[in-house]
Amino acid sequence: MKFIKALSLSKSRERKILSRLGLILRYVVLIAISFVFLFPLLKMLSLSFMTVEDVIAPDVMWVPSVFSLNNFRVSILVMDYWQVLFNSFWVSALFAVLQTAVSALTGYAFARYDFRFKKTLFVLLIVSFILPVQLLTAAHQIIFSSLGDILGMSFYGTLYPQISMALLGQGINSAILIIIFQSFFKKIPKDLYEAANIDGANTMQVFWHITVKISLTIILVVFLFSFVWNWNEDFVTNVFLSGGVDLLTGKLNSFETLFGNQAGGSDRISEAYESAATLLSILPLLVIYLFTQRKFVQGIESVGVTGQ
Amino acid sequence: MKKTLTRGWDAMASLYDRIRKSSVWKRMRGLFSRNKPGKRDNPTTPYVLMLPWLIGLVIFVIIPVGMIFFMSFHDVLKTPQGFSFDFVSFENFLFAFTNPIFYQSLLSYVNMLFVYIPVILIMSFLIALLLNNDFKFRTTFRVIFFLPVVLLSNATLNNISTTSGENNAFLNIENTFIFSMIDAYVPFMADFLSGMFGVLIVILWFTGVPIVLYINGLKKIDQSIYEAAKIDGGNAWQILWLIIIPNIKSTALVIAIFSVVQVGIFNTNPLYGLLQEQIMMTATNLGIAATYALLYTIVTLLFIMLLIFILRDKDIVVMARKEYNRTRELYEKQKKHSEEAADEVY
Repeated sequence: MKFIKALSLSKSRERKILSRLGLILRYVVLIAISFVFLFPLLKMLSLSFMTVEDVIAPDVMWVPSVFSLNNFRVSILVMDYWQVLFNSFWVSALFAVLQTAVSALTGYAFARYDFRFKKTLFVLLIVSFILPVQLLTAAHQIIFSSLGDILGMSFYGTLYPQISMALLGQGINSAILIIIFQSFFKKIPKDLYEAANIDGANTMQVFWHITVKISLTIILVVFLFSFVWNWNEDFVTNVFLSGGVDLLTGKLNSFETLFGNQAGGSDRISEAYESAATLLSILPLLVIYLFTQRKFVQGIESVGVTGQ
Repeated sequence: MKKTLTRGWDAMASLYDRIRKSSVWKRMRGLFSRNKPGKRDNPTTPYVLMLPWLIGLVIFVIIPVGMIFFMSFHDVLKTPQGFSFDFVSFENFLFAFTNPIFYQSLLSYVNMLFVYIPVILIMSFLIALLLNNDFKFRTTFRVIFFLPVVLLSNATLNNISTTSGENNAFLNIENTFIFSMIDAYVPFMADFLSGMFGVLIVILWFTGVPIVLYINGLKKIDQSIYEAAKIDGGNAWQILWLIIIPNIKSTALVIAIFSVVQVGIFNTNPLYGLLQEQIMMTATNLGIAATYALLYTIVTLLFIMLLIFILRDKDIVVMARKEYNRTRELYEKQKKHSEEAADEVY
């Protein structure tokens, strides 16, 4: 009897140790992976504080011997940082507001109503997401150029092409935004709409007073996504906006040439400046993300609902 | 002068009248007008709600796709009178396939898809499995793994590839003993491995959204299935292969397609620079840009079809067919029954 008891005790202890080991292993693996994830950011951070001597020195790997803010100072000067930051902010916010509003309406129509061609249109929505931006932009080029000729003005270097695309629901990743809205709006109980209908509310009143007011958080999430994507986008922006409003992404892309004119250093040295500049350009996003990370994850989770 | 002015005014007025009387306008106003209590929405309401998107779909997606097909068979040149289109049949395609810069980039694009997509699918699945259970600091890890979604841009990717490139001690595997051994015996394997490690960080930065989608898919699997499997004596390995993977396949398909799109819109794509250059040079033949873009799209779509073929849910089709047969049987039985009943009545 005693023997059996001891045996079972040792077994349970064994199991405990095993599960503890599993947990430790899990932490080790996760920490290793997160290090790989954060590696570029950490490298960027350490490089951007380094002086020229530290960058060249072979024995300085991570921690600079002197923390210098010189790189940041130079990048702020070269990029005309504050002005460009302000531009990036209002342009991204404008596109994001337009995209969010149109996506909400479209998502609402898909979620609430049953109509002819609903499936076809939904397939077209997904197709419009899959078709590469490069394909569509080649044709947009002709459309906007000819339209400019007809109206006697040039659309290049202005915000109009992108504004019109955002307004007509074809901005960057608009399809995903529509799908996020659609999957969230589908969860709103139909009884609420019925009740509003009985009380004599019209379509826009129903949309505003029920759908929008219930889903304020998801609207914020979509706005944030749209804002971030517009901030980082630079393919369409390069085609239509180059020479117009200076944005951070454009400035960063031309940073190397800009920098070559102003200082003319070797490859390794300009790496430090570039790191500082990149860090400066993603800093606003980083701050936004740290404050709203829960909402971001939540938003992506609701995409998965339609994933099935 | 005055006559033309009034005529112009008349035309404007009639246009305004026509717009006011048109059905679309009425429907638009209908959205804001008061409903009679209990009245249902008009069947055209959804179309009016999605009108901006529909117009955008036609102008910015459907027409452009048609235009690209048209342009790829033409020499498109910008003249002072607008664009001129000269029919050249397949010359643009011939040019594309004889231009080594293009077809080599296309090949390396395909190569990239075959490396990136499976690695993204597998890595994000493993990370999602690790993150699925509850444990301390879970949210912290999630915040870290989701960070790239916010920061992913050409600038950051550029910076990653320059700072964590070959001259980096952390990923310098080429000097390790095992690697040189592999290199000596199986050179192509060594090439593959060094390529993998070189781009591992970049690939990992694409796994942010896939991880969350996988976690979401894992949560949707019914917990009682796990319990049933455990009671039947299934171990973790069997649960993974027989329960989790078949159930997660549809999520994996969504993730795969999403990743194909994501990988394509950044400059990790070997074709990115070439296409951008061609599209931005309106002075030269835009027909070639269209041809490049068309070929690129066709390759992408073929790859997506391959993904659908691999990851499609066979079970769903089988189940649907079974269900269909069963309902048909039941229906026929019922019909027979009711006919018999009807016969009895007469």
